[in-house]
Amino acid sequence: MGTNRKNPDHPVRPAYRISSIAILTAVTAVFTLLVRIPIAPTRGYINLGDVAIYFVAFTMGPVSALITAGLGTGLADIIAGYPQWALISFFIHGIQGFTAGAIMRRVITDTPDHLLILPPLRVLAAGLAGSAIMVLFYYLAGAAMAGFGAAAVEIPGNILQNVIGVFGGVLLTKAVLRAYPPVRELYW
Amino acid sequence: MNTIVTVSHLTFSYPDYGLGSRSLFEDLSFTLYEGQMHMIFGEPESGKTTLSRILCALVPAYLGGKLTGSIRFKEQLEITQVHPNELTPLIGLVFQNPEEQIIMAACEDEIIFPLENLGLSRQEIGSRVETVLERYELTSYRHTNPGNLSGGEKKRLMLAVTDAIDPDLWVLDETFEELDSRWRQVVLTQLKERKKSVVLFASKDTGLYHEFFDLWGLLGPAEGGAAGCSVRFGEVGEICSAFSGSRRRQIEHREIIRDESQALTRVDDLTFRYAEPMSAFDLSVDRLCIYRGEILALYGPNGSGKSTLSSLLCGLIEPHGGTISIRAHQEWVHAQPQQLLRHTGYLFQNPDLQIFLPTIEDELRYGLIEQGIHGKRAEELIDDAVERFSLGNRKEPPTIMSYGKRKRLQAAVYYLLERTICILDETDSGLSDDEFFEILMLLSEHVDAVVLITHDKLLAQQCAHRIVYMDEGRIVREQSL
Amino acid sequence: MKVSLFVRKDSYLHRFDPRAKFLLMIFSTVYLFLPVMQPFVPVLLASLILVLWTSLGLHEVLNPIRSIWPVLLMIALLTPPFYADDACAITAALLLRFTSISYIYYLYFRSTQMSRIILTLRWFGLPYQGALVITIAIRFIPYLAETFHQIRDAHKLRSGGLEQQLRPWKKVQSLIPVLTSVMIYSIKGIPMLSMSLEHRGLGALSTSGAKVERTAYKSLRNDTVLFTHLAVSGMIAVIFISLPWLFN
Repeated sequence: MGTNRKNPDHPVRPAYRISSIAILTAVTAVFTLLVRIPIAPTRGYINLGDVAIYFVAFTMGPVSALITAGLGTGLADIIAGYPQWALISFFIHGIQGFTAGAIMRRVITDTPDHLLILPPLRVLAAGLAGSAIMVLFYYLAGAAMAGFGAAAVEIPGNILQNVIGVFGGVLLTKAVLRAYPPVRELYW
Repeated sequence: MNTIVTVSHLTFSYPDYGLGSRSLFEDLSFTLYEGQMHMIFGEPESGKTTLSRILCALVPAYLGGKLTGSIRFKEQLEITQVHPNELTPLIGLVFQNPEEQIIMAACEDEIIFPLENLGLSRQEIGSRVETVLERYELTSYRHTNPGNLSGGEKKRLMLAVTDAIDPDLWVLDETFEELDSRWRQVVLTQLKERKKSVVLFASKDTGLYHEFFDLWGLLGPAEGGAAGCSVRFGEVGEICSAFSGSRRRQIEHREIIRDESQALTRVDDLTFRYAEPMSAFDLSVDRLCIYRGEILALYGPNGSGKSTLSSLLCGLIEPHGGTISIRAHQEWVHAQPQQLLRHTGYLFQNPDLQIFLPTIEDELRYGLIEQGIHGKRAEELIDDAVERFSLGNRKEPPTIMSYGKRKRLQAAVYYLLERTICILDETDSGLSDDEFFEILMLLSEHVDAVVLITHDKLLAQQCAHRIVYMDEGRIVREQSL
Repeated sequence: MKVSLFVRKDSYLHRFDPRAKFLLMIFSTVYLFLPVMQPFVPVLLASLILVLWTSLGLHEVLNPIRSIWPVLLMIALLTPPFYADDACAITAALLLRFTSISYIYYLYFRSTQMSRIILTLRWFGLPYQGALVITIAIRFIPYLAETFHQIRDAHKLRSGGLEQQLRPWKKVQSLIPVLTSVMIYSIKGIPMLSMSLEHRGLGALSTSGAKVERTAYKSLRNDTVLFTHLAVSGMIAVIFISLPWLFN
């Protein structure tokens, strides 16, 4: 397979990298835009974008997660009518995805095909680090723009969004691995 | 005649993911010639799409698999040894599903993209873009998002892009499926006059365009029971009669009691309009009944409201006015969307939107659990459905099964759901007639009524007891057969 | 589904070079955070509103406020407890700053087409592949959103709409199969899109070893218009920067 990491004669073709990143970016944006649970007062809702971010971090690795998470959420902010957050989302979600992906590393590709158990400690570490980065940096960015008080309102919502994101990401990774085994070949 | 592509001893199989490999082609050899129009028939699932992708070196590069043998372009270039992008100016493929081929967010950009990649000059790109936009009557869609075009328009755009690249060989994968007859004529006349080398893969013989093609072939198992596959060329008549896609079937006549008071579903003064301010479409149906035991065809062109009416009938959207009534305990009740969801099933045209779970048995069991059926009884029902719909291995992951099998699974899911009515949306597309009839028969014997959405008039006449003609959101005529 | 804030119109803001506009956007964002400039933020905000009014029309002026009023309310309520002295001044400054930021970005994205924004980023050095990723993502967002709705419908059809009666947490759980389907559907599209990209000749010139570059048919020209607009932007920036000295 032209995309198969096991075959050194066939390096990943640029077209494949471009399309995997572009499509996962679109998925991240769609998850962010379409599934909104009204809760946090400032931006009005928590979304499932983080589910997509952790999914990409777990299955596709840090570099893909960096780009898809940043671009996906940034584009979603522009589309949803919150363009002032786009740049902030781009950087913070990007770093969040990258960190989670870097901690998970090649767990997906290294586990034997019949084992679908993600190592819980690794997931916990990746999830905690990703969540901490997202919550903290959003707080700082929010504080710079709107003051410490208003930014603090977002914290509980962001924590919840990350908890759902990590849990959802794990469930989604497992479900997709089971239903569509070729997903392992996305890692690079 | 000079050859343009020579395929010799091609053997190919897809990766099997531990499920037992099946070889799609074995020892396949054939030749295509320069300046000729080739028509190659093949049953759905006979490997037409894979073959067209192999000709462009896209498979196995992107979908994996094992390929041996040789494919020569103009007796020189070995296609199996090159990267797909080296073939761009040589061989142009129009994908069967345009949605998989569209890259850009504006029609114009879609045409510009390959020309930029080939490094053409700005002037050259500009003039080619204008030429093909005009030739395929897409000028007014220049800045439109291709995703918003109709199925036929998308196909035209993909033809326009290919035309702008102007490759030596055109490979058309079921390209005429969604084009209307005028555009089929226009495109074929063009290609013929400009003496292009063309190969069209088709799974249906519409019989109308025979004069355009020079060479006729049939893709299928080798003759005389020999191992392997063949593309056999021959006389028009011989090939067409050997191709079972030309054969049609007819359902048995059935006596339907058309008593409105005994109907399964009754629609009164139904109206619906989409929220988008852009759309001028509105649906308005004064009266429609669906009777026990019948197969009802909803026939009409794209955008005539067939799918909207179906979504209303199964409770996916709420009407703005009027009522849909169903019979419960011998009484008419005005059905809420919730009730309709459990009354009427809807098989989407694309089965992948309705298949979610890891294995065939999970997929079938899911619906049974919702109905409260567990344990041994459930397993029996699953076995029965697997057998009836020839699904084979219960543990197979649906996502990597063939298209036909995914459609059969989709039908089996609804078979087990025990809905009163089943709506089949263009279920015939991508299936052989035999396969489609089999699914239709299995379902129609099991549920109380089947509604068939189609834009194929012949099909409607062959397999329905009654045809409802729709146009611009209205029922224009009803015909009992 | 609309994938951008952009509205088509022939205003001076629309015609203003997107690169100059981009630089002005960055400039005014930085301006808002410079301590010396704080007294002049109202001037900036007033100018932004004036530009919005004269270019897009009066009815657009309230649009940004509609989406940010909850934040403004939070600022007004929650900032004072953090500061013993000057609570009022600080709160007012934050309100002005956040409102201004919202107007800046609203103006830019409302008046600049997504494709022009991408060309702008290209001009500022974004590699072609990055631009292509953004373009494709924008093409796929409405398509996948539509797919998402269809898949949710499919689930509703199969479960008979039972999940609508569930409690919130269960409702979220019942979304997992939908998300799974959307994800698988999208991932299965990756090899298809790769095939299309490569069949359309992506990277063709690099593999053939030729020293020819791919053509950029649409790109932003370095012409006199750009020069004039950059000059105008520069002047605007200089005026705003010199405000503290002018009023000293």
